[in-house]
Amino acid sequence: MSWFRRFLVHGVFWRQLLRFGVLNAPLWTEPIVMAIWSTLFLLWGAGRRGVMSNLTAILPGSTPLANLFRAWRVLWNFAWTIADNVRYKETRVTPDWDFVGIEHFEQLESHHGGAIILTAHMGSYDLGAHLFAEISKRQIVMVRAPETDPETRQFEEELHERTAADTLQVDFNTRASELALDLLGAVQRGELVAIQGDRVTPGISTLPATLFGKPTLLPAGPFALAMAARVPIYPLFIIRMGRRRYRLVVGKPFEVVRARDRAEAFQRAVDEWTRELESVIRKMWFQWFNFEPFSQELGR
Amino acid sequence: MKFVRGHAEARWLPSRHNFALFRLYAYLRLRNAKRETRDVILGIDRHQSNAEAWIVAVWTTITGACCIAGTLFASWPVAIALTVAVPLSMLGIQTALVTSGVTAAPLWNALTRLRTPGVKVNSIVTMSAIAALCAYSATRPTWVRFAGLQFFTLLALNALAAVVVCLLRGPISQLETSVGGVPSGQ
Repeated sequence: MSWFRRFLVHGVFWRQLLRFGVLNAPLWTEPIVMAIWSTLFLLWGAGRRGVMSNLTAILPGSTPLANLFRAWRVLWNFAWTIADNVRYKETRVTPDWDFVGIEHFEQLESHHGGAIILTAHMGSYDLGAHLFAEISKRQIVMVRAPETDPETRQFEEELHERTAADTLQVDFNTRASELALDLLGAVQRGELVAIQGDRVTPGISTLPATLFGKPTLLPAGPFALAMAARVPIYPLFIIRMGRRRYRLVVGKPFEVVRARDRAEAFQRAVDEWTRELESVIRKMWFQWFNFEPFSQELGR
Repeated sequence: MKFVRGHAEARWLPSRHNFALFRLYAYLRLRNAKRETRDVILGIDRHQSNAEAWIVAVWTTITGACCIAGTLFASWPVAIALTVAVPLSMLGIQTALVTSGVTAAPLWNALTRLRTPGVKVNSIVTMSAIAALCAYSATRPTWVRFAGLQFFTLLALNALAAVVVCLLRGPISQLETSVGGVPSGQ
């Protein structure tokens, strides 16, 4: 039955189909193809329920029926985003970009020394990292969760090897302690490290936080790294604004100041981050690609 | 990676458009556009135009839906027939696209060894399928013939625009280069 695995949600078949679509669909069929596939994605029960339960916290008082349509909108954006990502990798066609917080973006571009780019599963963070690596010519190390399916992982790694810019390196957060040392070395060498700070994967250390009034856990890694290396954290979000149009939102950088009470220092940094995260997600809930309930309270 | 940075008016670069009618319109807009200095990065690809993609997608879907409603469901009330025909038209285009993608594009490239991009081959095949549907519809004695005829009218207009764009290729390239773009055809 192992052949069947490729057709499961995380199976490689869907990545291959996406690549086929990107390389074969003419522009005028794109909206049609996306509409059909976004509707089919709604059949993915776990993902749909995850988005809908998150929406109940983000938009208090929202009804299940309205959230079903909202879930479709999330999936619609997700479909376009993953297609844009593959298109960029395969054909080097970049979407259009505009900026919010350009002064922080330019500060990041010209910043001497290492820094941490803290981002979320919004829009195409992958595409954003590729773009930044291309235009800034700075070395970026992007940390991402590994694919759970071995065939899918191999497919993604091959795609990355074939298509990544020289200045972009991707590390998978599977080997926590080893990776932490690598990342510390990278920021100390003056490189930028891009990490997603809105979701935890099993086995990584966490910090307690409150998001939309619900208790949740966020990855501790970016904050610990910022404290250890004494580098600033730049909150950065990639928002999809339309077909092949993205907005790069860069927030004011903050630091994790070393203090006698480490827990308090972390808490202050986590609060700063969750404030930024909440304000972006509240406005752009249809771009948050978190398909699992972000709090255990929502999973009940 | 081809892009223009800092010139918002570059959204009207003809090289960001695919069909000749849209390229000609973009050229006219760009010729009259004022310099807009903004923090933007605009990708250059002939499939980049948002408006073009949506207009052509809606046009082909509705044309297909009219042809289906006026032929397969000719005896139904028009409103009901069109409502059923719209999703069928979308599914039809998707089916034609996948079928062409797995057969026509590889076959064409195997026979010609031209390495034509799948997008181009599939665009021609899928548009030809719609043209065949419209040709049949245009011969019917009912309202559906207008759906078929408008398709060929727009096709003829696009061909005319292609001739104009070809004649203007020098000035178009000059204008594109002046805003930091890549001349059409490169």
